[in-house]
Amino acid sequence: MDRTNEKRRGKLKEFWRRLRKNKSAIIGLILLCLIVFCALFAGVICNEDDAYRQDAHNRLQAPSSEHWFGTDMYGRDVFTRVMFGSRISLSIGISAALLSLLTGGTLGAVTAFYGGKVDDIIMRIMDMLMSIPATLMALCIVAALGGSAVNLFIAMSLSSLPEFCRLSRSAMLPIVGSDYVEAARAYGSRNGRIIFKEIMPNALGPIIVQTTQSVASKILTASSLSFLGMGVQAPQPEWGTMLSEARQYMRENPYLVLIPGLFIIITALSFNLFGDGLRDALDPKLKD
Amino acid sequence: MKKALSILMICVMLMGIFAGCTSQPAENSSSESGENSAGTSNEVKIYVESAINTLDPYQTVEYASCYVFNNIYETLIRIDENGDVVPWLAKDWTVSEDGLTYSFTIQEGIKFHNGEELKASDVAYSLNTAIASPAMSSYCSMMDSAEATGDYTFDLKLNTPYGALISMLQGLYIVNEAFYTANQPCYDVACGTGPYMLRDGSVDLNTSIIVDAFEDYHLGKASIETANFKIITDASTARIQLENGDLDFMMCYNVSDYQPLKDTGNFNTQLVQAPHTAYIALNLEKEPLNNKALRQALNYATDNESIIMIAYDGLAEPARALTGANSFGVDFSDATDYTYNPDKAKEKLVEAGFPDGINFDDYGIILEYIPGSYHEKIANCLKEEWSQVGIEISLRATESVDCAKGEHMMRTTGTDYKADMSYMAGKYASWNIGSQNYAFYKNDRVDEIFRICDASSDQAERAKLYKELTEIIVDDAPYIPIQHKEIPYVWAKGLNAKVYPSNECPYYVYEWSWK
Repeated sequence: MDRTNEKRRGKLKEFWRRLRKNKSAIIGLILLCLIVFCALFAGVICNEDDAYRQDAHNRLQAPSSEHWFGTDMYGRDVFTRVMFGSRISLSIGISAALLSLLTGGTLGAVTAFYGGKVDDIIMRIMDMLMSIPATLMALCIVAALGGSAVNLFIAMSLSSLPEFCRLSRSAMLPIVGSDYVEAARAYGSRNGRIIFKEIMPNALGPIIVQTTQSVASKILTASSLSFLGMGVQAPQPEWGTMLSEARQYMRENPYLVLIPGLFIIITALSFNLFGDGLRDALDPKLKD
Repeated sequence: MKKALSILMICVMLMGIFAGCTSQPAENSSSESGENSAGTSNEVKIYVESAINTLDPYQTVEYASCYVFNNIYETLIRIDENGDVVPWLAKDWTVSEDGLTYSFTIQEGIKFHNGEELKASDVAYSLNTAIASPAMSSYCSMMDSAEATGDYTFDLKLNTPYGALISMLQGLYIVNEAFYTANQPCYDVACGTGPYMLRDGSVDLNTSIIVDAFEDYHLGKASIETANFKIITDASTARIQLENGDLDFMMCYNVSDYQPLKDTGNFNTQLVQAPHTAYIALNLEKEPLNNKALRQALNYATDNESIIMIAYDGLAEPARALTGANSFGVDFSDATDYTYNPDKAKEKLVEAGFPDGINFDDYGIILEYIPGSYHEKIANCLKEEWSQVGIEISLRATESVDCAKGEHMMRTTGTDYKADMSYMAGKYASWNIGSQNYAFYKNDRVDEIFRICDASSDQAERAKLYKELTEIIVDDAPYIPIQHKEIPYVWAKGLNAKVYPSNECPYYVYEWSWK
């Protein structure tokens, strides 16, 4: 037992050493930490009421010491809204990616393990899902279920189900045929145990990378759906919703679209940079 | 060698891009001087804010369609800028003693676009078609039938006396009977007597409708040869087109664009007080909106001044009923004053039986709004203001809801009003439940006053009764009135344009010219 723990620690150390060497991954990680910090401590940094309180006499004010990012057309403080917006964007992005990881990952493992007819049926369904553009499908699902944060998250997880399923299947296929899985079978382990204990942990690398990068695309999709009025509904301070509301004022008050836009870019970029770094650090073929 | 070649290719491509960029401003430079970009100063390009559903004047009362109708069709009368009736296709008229029959004489020698002369039979056919059409009920509900009594005379019979009948005729366009019956459905063709006629093959209801001056127009051919109604559903795009000279005349659908455009000094601008009220339609059939004290609380909790600043850039007056004080008979002097008062709102909530506030989610009631316009901002303001006094409500964007059938619970919407209070029967009289009375509001005294006043021509008595009516409808608060807006217009410096204080007849291109 001690030996496996030690081995794991050694692996972790090796992984960290490789990640540290990658400058862009570290930048991504730092940005990511900053945004997570904003999301976690939004309530401490600013007062949640400010994100909703309207002030007709102080609307469309440029950034100042009192309102760091200015005020919007309702006289609400944009800084506070951006801070609380990070909560919504991050939670939708991460939870949607995790949900598709869980469902898609499990489906992929099942197809890889059982093969044959199960494989055929599930993969053909995935092919069908894949033939519909992800954003379009999410849009249709939200249109059918109604626009809200929860429906948005369901729609986005469903639309990225096939990519996770395919990825985990291809990552697990070689493992299914490996000697230690044969051994576990011979030993009499139940199928569920083999899938979750033997196969899945050994195929995690590519899946983790995919999940991280998927968070970025989820945040972008959520913002674009909200921008189209199909996602998080006003007056909630989702970044895409903020962009959409501010569009009309873009010419005279450009900061109203620049600021939430920048935050969307930074968040997506940091997840992508970090995801790239993860892939390089986890890929055994790239070892030094 | 390969490298040099690829660099050369990149240079060529970049040059192509820059060449593409520079040719654009060059094209537009002529438009800066007030001429339009087509080169001839005889075309005017007019912004239309939404797609036009049909060119059949009896199937729609939407503003966008009316902009075109006003230039290809004509009506029996017009309303001038002072609100006075001007005979137009009608020459004169008399009213029978019982007030149920109007006998009209029409102008002679007026030609339709197809060359036929306007006859009383065309007018009677037009009016009867309108009376039969559900879409026109707000204009025609009091009319029974029209009948030609000669080539140039006809009778219009009413089912109930109606004092303000003549002003209703402003919304009823006269078509050529033969053409209209032969071309059903007339959604993209038209034959009227107006100064402009549709250009063949130019009608695309989603992008543009081009009309050319009609040679035989009875007042002489129009000064502007061609009018192009450009349908642009994104208001920001419209503003850019106006600045580039691709539009000559624009109603600022984004009110926030008005001041910046005015500040440039490159345009003519005008604000017009339109007889229009933005309001919240409450469905009184739904629990607990049938609670009068609760409705009063909602009215007190609504800060109209702030809403107007946020939603309409301050270019509106707070409304106290669905009609403005400039309409005959409207007298607010003794009516309840719902000026924003959170304390009063809380008192009324207690009186209504909600001492701890109310969450409309518990009753399944949602405030629905028309997305994208100032209505969306009104809804957002209300949500925030109401929550200050303990009234919680959720919002939902919905494109179209049939309020007449009561599909709504609470919805932002708007209505025109007319120079006379009688028009408000549509919104407040119980016999209009199922059509215009979106509140499903019923008050016997209100019904009675509307009936007496419609039948009466004693203006002093009508004024007195309408004052009482005003007090009742304000106190009962079946709606939440928000604002009477001003409509901001912007047009090219070189264009002599004239606009009217009306939503459905804001302008007649015939009266315009290029300097």
